Amino acid sequence: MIYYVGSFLLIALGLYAVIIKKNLIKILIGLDLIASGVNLLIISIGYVKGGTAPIFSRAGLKASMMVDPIPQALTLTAIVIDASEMALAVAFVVLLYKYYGTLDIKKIRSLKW
Amino acid sequence: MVNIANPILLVVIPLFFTFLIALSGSFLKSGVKYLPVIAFALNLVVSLALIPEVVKNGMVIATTAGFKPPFAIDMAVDKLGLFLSIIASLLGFVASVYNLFYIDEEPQEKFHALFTLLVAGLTWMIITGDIFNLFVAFEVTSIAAFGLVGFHRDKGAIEAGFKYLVMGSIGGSFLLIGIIMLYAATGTLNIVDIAQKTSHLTFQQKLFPFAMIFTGLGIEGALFPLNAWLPDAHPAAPSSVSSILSGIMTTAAIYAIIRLTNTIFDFNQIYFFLMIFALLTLIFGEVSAFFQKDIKRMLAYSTIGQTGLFFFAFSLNTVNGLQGAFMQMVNHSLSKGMLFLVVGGMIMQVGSRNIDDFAGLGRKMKVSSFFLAIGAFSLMGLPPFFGFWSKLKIIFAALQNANAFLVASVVIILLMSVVEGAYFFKLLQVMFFGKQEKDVAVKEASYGMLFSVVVLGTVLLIISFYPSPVIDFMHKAAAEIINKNYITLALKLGGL
Repeated sequence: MIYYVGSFLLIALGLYAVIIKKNLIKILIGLDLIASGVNLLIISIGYVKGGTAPIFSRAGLKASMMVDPIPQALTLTAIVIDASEMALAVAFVVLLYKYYGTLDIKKIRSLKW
Repeated sequence: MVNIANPILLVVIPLFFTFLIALSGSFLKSGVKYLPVIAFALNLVVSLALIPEVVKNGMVIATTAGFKPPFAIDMAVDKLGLFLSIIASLLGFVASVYNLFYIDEEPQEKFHALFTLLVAGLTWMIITGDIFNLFVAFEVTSIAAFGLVGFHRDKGAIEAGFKYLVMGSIGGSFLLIGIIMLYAATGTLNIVDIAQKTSHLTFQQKLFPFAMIFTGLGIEGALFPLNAWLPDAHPAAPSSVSSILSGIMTTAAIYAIIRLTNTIFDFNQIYFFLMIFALLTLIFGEVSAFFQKDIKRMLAYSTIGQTGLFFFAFSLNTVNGLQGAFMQMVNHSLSKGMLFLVVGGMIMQVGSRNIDDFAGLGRKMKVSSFFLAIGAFSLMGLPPFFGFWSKLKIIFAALQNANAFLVASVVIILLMSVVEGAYFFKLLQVMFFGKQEKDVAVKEASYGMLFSVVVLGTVLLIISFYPSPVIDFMHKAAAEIINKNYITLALKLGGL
């Protein structure tokens, strides 16, 4: 239960940062928080308390004693996607900083936001 | 002999070429630009080869890795997926031919790799039968699109790209939350398997995943409150990319909503709410388009309006309504894809995106202007063109079981068609009858660019004058969606 609460808090915190903060880097941190929150949520869905890795490594292990491996695989995929998205975002921020000399989103307004 | 009617090839070919382009870029130099053309020509062949199979069996399913679904990932193409994948391959092909003459900015190999990846992701999103794969395809598409929107690397492009990135990645996270909630409720990721296990869930249990998935896909599909990125991103991208983004991307996102709503969620209570969203999107798009001075921005807002229109038709939740929605999707993809390509050539010649600078172009760029007029007429829904049939179908479908609200929505649709007509006629009037003040040397776009435009225009004209095969096909596709044949066919053909 605590994991679910924690992950939704992380997501809410990230959304808050993205919507309210004016600094580009802080917006990126917010995006990363959302992604981490979602990953934590995925992992906690597959978690079994006291469960082991899903490998039949010793006799007497039953499937109900293992954690669900699919969410872990999903999380790995999601982490890779988030990493590439973050890299692209940082590249955008570097270019924006080059053009405007500031990270304040209110001063970067050649388009209507 | 290898059977080429395999949906997996639709994803594998462009993905393979993506990496080939990225790897061979250093020694092939500008020769890489021919590789996407080959990739999408192959894709077009594969998707056309799928037609007889899909017509015969109703669906083609391909599984991966030698396991049976739901353990393996599968690709399932039914009639709806088939025509969207044909359109995606066709647009990918003509836009990559267009790119041969259009993209001269470095780094070329990166552009072509991302472009191939974009269309690969969109096709993947359309044909996948696995809900987590839908998320992966969504993200592949988005990341390629972020990069392409910022490709020009000027102030506007970077800013539009960043804005799109922020909204798109929030959308991706929401989609993932929805998907994982469905996984938690059913323990499977295969769409058909989920659909069988969600039937006993209560409305409240399904509402939260639905809201999350709807928000995530709605950002990509540019539904009303979530579309702030689109009017910046589409104009900032190179024109061939805008053509793909406008033509297929919003359509693919709406496709995913249609597919998931009809197979997995299966509510009736939600459609009224979707209808309101659709009408707001329609009004917002068309009215904003009317006030634009920048031609690509105008087309981008018009895309929002069109999305609202076919989303409205989908939310009627009847066979006729869905048929109208699919026809409008085809009409929109072909004509908007063509319009962006035409306009790209014109902007190259004129050197400006302001509509007033297009004065007199109708006399100087005759072929381009002719096809621009055809695309605009079809989008407006003037009688001989395909847009007329689709709008007529939507209006008839809405009036089928008319209540006061539906009549009011039909009035709104008609009013918005008038607005749409107003801004397209304004553009055409400036182009054909406006006086060019500055004497600039404007000549016709190059033959290669015209080739792409002419191909799309010809397809549009053919389906305009012989609409009945397309209309029949759409009717069958719509009936399949409403009758939930996706599930029964998948069960029969071993999709589960």
